[in-house]
Amino acid sequence: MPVVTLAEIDATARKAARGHGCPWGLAEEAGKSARWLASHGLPGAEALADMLRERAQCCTVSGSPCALRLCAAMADRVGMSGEEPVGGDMAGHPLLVLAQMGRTADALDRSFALEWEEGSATVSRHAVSIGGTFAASSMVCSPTADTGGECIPLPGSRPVEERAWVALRDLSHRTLVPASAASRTGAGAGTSDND
Amino acid sequence: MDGAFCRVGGSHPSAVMAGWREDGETLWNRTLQPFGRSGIAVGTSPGDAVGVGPDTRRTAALLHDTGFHAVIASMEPRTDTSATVPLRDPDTVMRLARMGSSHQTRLSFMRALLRSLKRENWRFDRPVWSVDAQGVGHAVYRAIGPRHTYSLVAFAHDLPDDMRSDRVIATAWDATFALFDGTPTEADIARLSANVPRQEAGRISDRELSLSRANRSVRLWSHVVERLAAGEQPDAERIEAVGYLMRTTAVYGSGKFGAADRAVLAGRGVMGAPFHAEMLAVWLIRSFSLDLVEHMARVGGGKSAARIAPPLRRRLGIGNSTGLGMAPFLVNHPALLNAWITARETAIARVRGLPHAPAKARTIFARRLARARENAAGWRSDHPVQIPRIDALRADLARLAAHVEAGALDHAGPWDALVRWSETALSPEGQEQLASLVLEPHGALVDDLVATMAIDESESFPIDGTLPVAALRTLIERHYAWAIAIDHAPAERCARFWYVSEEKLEPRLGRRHDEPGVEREEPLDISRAVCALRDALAGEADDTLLADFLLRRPEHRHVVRRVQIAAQRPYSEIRDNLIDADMLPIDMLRCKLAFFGASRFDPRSDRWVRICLYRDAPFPDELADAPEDDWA
Repeated sequence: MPVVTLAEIDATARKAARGHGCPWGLAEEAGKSARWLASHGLPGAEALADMLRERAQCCTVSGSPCALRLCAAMADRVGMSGEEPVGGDMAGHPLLVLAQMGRTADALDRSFALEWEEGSATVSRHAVSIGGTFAASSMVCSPTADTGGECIPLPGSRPVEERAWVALRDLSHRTLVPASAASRTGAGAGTSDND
Repeated sequence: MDGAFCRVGGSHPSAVMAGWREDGETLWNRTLQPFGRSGIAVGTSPGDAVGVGPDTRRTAALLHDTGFHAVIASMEPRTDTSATVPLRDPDTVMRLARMGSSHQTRLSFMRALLRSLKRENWRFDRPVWSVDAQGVGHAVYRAIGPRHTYSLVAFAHDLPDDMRSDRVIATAWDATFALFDGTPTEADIARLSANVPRQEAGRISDRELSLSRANRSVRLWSHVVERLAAGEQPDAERIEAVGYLMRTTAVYGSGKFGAADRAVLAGRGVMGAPFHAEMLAVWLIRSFSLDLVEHMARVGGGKSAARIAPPLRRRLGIGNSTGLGMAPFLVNHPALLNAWITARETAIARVRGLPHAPAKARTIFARRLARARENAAGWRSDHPVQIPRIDALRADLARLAAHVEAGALDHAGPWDALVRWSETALSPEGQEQLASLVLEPHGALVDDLVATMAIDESESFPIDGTLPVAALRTLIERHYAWAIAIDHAPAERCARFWYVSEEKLEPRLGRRHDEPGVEREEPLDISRAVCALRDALAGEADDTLLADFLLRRPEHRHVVRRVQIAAQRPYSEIRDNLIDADMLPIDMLRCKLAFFGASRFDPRSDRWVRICLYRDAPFPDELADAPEDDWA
C-alpha cells in the first residue's frame, strides 16, 4: 500500500473531486474531509474514492445531491441558534458526514452527536469517539455537551489502499493541462537560466 | 483596575516584562519578583503596572515567544500605539504594484529564524564530509537545539554544463538536499541517496522536513575555485555582482513528496513558524556551497589553496530562482496571507504611535538606512520594470536621508510623520523600504508579532450558512468594491488563465483566448468569481439562507468562503485582477519572498525572479558571537 502524507491526501482528494467534476468549493471540502479522516486513523481517501466511483459524474451535472454536497449543507447550518437536530439521507457515505462535522467541531470548538441506525459518534475539537458500525444511509446530527475524547489526530504519514489511491490519482490527473512547447517556454525565465 | 497583573510562569527568579498601563497609553518595563511558584506578578502603580493591558494576547505572546529576559530588558517607556494609529488601508497595501514593492523586515522568516536560533543557543556541526576529487559525494550539517536536532543531508553531483537549468522541469542538479528530523544514520543516508538526487521522481519520508536542490553559478563558481586554488582571493567585484555561489531552484516542504506534514512541526517551537524549516535548510545550504567551493579549490591547489577571507565570505548569500509556482500560494491561503500582512502592518502602526525617537533609535535607524542605500546601490536588474523601480528607490533613499538629516525625527510622533511624508514624497519602492526601516530600531516592540504569523487555517474554513443572502451581498459591497469595479468582459481583462501543467505539476499562466486548457482553469480568477457570485445573488430573495443558496448553487461555494474570510480578515485578498493582461506575477512572488527575507530581487521575465537569501548573514559558526539580527 502506498504510504502518503496528510498533505498529499488533502491535495489529491481535492483534485480528484475536481477532476470528477465537483465545483471547487466542494472539492476543497473533499480534500479536508479525506485528510481529517486519515488523521484520525479512518479511511478518508478510501471513503472519497468509493463515493466518486459510484457516480459517473458530479451531482451538479446529473443525479441526486451527493454526500459531499449534503453534508456540506448540514455543516453550513450548524450556526443556527436552536438545538434542533439536522440530518438526512447521506447517500450511504456516513464517514464523509463524520468528517465534515468533525472539521466543523475542530474549527468552531463545538461538539456534535451523530446518530444512525447501527451506531453513534461524538465529535469535538480534535477528538472523536465512535460506537457501532458504519453501515447507515441516514444520520442525525445534534449539538452536545459531550466532548468525545478518543482518537486524537496524528500528523504522520499513513498507508492508503492502493486501489483507492490510484483511483484518486487518476481523477486528479483530469485537472492537469497537457504540456505544450508554448506553455513550457512561457513559464520560464525570459533569458538564460544557466549563468 | 489599578493593580494590573500578569501570570509570568516558568521558574525564573525574576522576570523583566513589558506592560501596558490600564489606559493603554504607556508601555513599561520592570523587573518583577513573581510570587511563589505560580509566578503571578502584581503591580500597584503605573510604574509597576505590567502585563494585562488592553491587549492581553500580545503580552502572552511576548512572554511565550521571546524568552522575555533578553528582549524586554532593552525596552524604554513607549506609547502602545495599537489604539492610536490605524493600520494602513488594505486598498493601498493589497494592490499588486504595492505588494511588488515589498521589502524584507524584522519579521521576515530568515531573520526571525536566526534570532530564535541565537537566543536558544543552538549549536551547529558538520559530522559528515564525504566528497571526492570530482566534487561528488555527500555531507551532513547539523543544527542542534535545546529539544530537537535537524540535519541537512547534502548530495553533491557532477552535472554536465548543458544539463543545468533552474526550471522545475529540470531532471538533474549540481546538488540536492533533504532536511532530516534528527541525526541520520548510515541507513537513512543510504535511503536518501537513492531518492533525494531524483527530487520529484524520488520519495522521501516524514523523517524529512524539506526537499531541495541547487545549481552552481556559472558566472562565479569556476572563478572562485581557480582563484582559491592559486592561493588568491576571488575578485570582490564579481562576488558583489552575483552574490552567491549556488542558487536553489525549489525548496519543497509541508508534506510534499512524502516529507513531513506541517502538522508534524506544529509543536516544535521555532520550527513551527511558517517556512522556518525551509529557511533553516537554505541557511545550511549556503554553508555547504562555501565548503564545496573550498574543497574543489583544495583539490586543485593542494596545501597552498586559500580559504575565502571572512569579509568576502559574508557577502555570499544563497541565490534562488523562483517561478510561477509560488504565486498561487498567496491566493490559496487567504487567512495565512492576512496573518502575515497584519503582523507587518501592526508592527508599522505600533512604531508610528511612538511619541519620540530617542538617540539610540535614531542611531540604529541611521545605520540601517545607510545599509539600505548600500544595498540599493548594488542592486542590479536588466528587467524593464525593475530598472526604473531601483532608480526610484535610490533617489528615494537619498531624499529620505536628507529629510532625516534636516531634523525629521526631532518632532513629536516622528515615525508617523515620516511615514506620512513618504506617502507623497517617495515612490512605492521607497515607501515600503521606509516602512521596513522604521521597524529596525524597535525589535522589542514588534518582534513578538512573529508568533502571530503561524495560524490554523482550518479555523477559517467553515461557512456560516445561516447568513441571509442580503447580508452576504452587503459583505461583498463592503470588502470587494475593488473587484466589483472591474469589468471582466473585455478580452484583456480576462486574458490569462492559471493552470497546472502535466509537466511536474508546474503552475503556469496561459493565454485564455489562444491556448488550450482553459476548461481546467485553477480558481485564481477571484475578482471575476466574486462578480459572478454577486450576479447570482441578485436573483435571490433577501432572506434566503446562504446554506440553501449553496445547496442549489455549489459552484459559488469557494468564493463564498473567501468572502466570509475577507469579512474578518482585511488583508486576505490581493485586490487586483489576477487574470488581467497587464498583471505581473512577479509582484506576487516578490511579496512572498520578502516575507522569507529575500533581497536583490532580479526579475528575469514577468513571471520569473532571482533573489539572494542570507547575504551578509552570519554563518552557523559565527551566530553565537554575532550581534543579534544586525545583518539584513
